Amino acid sequence: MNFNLVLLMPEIALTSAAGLAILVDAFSPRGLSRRFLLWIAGGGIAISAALALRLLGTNTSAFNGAIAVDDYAVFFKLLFLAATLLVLLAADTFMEETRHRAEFVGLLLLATTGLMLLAAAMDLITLYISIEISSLSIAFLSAWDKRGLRSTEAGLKYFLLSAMSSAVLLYGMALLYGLTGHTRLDLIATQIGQGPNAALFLALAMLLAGFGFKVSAVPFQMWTPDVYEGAPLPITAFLSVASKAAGFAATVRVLQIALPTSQTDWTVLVAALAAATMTVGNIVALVQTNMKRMLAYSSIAQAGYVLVGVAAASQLGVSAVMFYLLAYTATNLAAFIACIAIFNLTDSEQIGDLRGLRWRSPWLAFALAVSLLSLAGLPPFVGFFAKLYVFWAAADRGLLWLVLVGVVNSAVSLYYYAQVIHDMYITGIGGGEPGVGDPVTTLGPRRPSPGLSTALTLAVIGVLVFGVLSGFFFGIGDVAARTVAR
Amino acid sequence: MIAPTEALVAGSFYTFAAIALAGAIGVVLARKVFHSALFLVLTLASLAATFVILGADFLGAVQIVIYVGAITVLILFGIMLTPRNVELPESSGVGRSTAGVFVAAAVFIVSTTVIVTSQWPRSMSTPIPDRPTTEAIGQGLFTTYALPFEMASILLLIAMIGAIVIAREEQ
Repeated sequence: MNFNLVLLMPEIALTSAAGLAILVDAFSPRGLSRRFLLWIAGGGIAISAALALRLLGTNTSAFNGAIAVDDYAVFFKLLFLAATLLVLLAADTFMEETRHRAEFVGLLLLATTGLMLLAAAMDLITLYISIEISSLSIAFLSAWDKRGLRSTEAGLKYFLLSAMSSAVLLYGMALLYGLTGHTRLDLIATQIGQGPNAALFLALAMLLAGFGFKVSAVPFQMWTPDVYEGAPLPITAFLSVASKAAGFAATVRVLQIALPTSQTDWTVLVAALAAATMTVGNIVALVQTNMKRMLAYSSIAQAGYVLVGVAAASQLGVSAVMFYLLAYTATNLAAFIACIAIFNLTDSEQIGDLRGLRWRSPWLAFALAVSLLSLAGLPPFVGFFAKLYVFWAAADRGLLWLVLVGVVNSAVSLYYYAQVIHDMYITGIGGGEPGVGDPVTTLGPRRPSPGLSTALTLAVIGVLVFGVLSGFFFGIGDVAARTVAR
Repeated sequence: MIAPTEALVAGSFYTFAAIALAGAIGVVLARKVFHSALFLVLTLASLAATFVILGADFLGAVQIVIYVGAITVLILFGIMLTPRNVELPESSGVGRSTAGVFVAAAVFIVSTTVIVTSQWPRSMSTPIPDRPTTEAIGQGLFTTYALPFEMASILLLIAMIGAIVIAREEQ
């Protein structure tokens, strides 16, 4: 028995912080202040990150192979912790207005714990339970704004569809278990025979469908725009970066370790998913008028680019996926946090109402422009290098047609990203120069709160620094990728 | 001596499987949602019997206690406490039921084909060990599967906290 709790300390620290926040709040007469809750959560995240860093280079597995403690898992754990910290900071305006703040913070930390376990899961049972931990808490968090019907709808939709996709995922896992007699990923690989096997193919398709829901790959993306639009924006940001990254972390681990391409060729299947996801996401994004829905379809398209790296099925591919997820997390967080600040300012989610933003709030317009250009994949921002690496990995494996689809899609996506920037910078309100009497300029500006500003600054710095030092950060991912891919 | 036992096992398996299927069809076809819930009890109970036939005695007992008992009661309470006068959009269109039948048929055909044509590592004739499984499951939960067991408790905690926050009436 290997019950070495040290290997599990990052998750234990975060769970304890969640419990502390909820319990102290329950027993204090007037409830905890927002500031105090942020300190508890931030402290938990910092301790958890420090403990995770200490596990770098351990590269072992714990609890009878239920979870892996490898550099790949540590990389993702640090990524989720950083994302959660930024989401918490960005949520301070939302937390001011909502009830049950302690439970909100607690569930967010528990969701992060689930994602951390998901990135480390080496066993189908652990994998399934960690998916449920994260999905269930995200469903509750999406429905948190009980005054709004759309928030309730978002929570319910996410809950029902995640239950459905879990059923498909479980069916796939059951087939895999029936074929091999094992639930551990490494042991499954040893039992899968050579040659085609119909049940194995069905199991693979079902696993991909289950993971496809989590990362919102086409054709499992139906829930994405509605949930992104209805959920509280900080939760949407969390869902679009941390939850998606964890889904990819698990997908790559399962495919690389349990179903190596030497035995099962899933390259074509994943490549087809990637092409469909990029194309559908980008084309539907073109016609959106609501900023949240536009970002939802954009995040579907981004999942397609990540799948290009997954389809490469090589160590280079895994490193490219890791770097892409790092880049995407910083960039998409910057975009969403900028949106939170802008919506607070303008009280509108329409893209058209961003017109002339640079005169009203140059800093927010700049932050949103940087993140959109990075999402579009323009140099010198990090998104460019991220795309470069995944396309390189795919070309390296001879998937030239997929690279071509990806490049064409990037060009298409530039149109709708640039449209927003055009609105903010070139067009004044009503099409000309902004005047004094414009309806939007006379709105009382709700300045971004300190937490929101900090989060936005950090995210934009991430976009710039990861871009400038892309070689260095790719190198980190490359070392960590060796623990799951050969 | 072995043959009659085998016939008994096979006979009871097919009997309970038929009851489970009949119950499942009843769930789908029943007009009233209350009747659907009662048909569900039939299906879940027959599945419990199937588990016992397959040698999973603990799982069978748990299936009865949790699914036949608690979850069905929960569903019935849910039905009874839901207001009747809520206007729901008409959902029984011809197109929708055709789509449902089509998907169900596709799933049936694909899974049957796959199960029949695939190479399974263990043959159907492997004898089922004839001893209680409870002890082994208990051992497993506290040794091999200690981590998933603890994770499941976090999952339940999340469900409790979330349900209270969502269901609570705000003043």
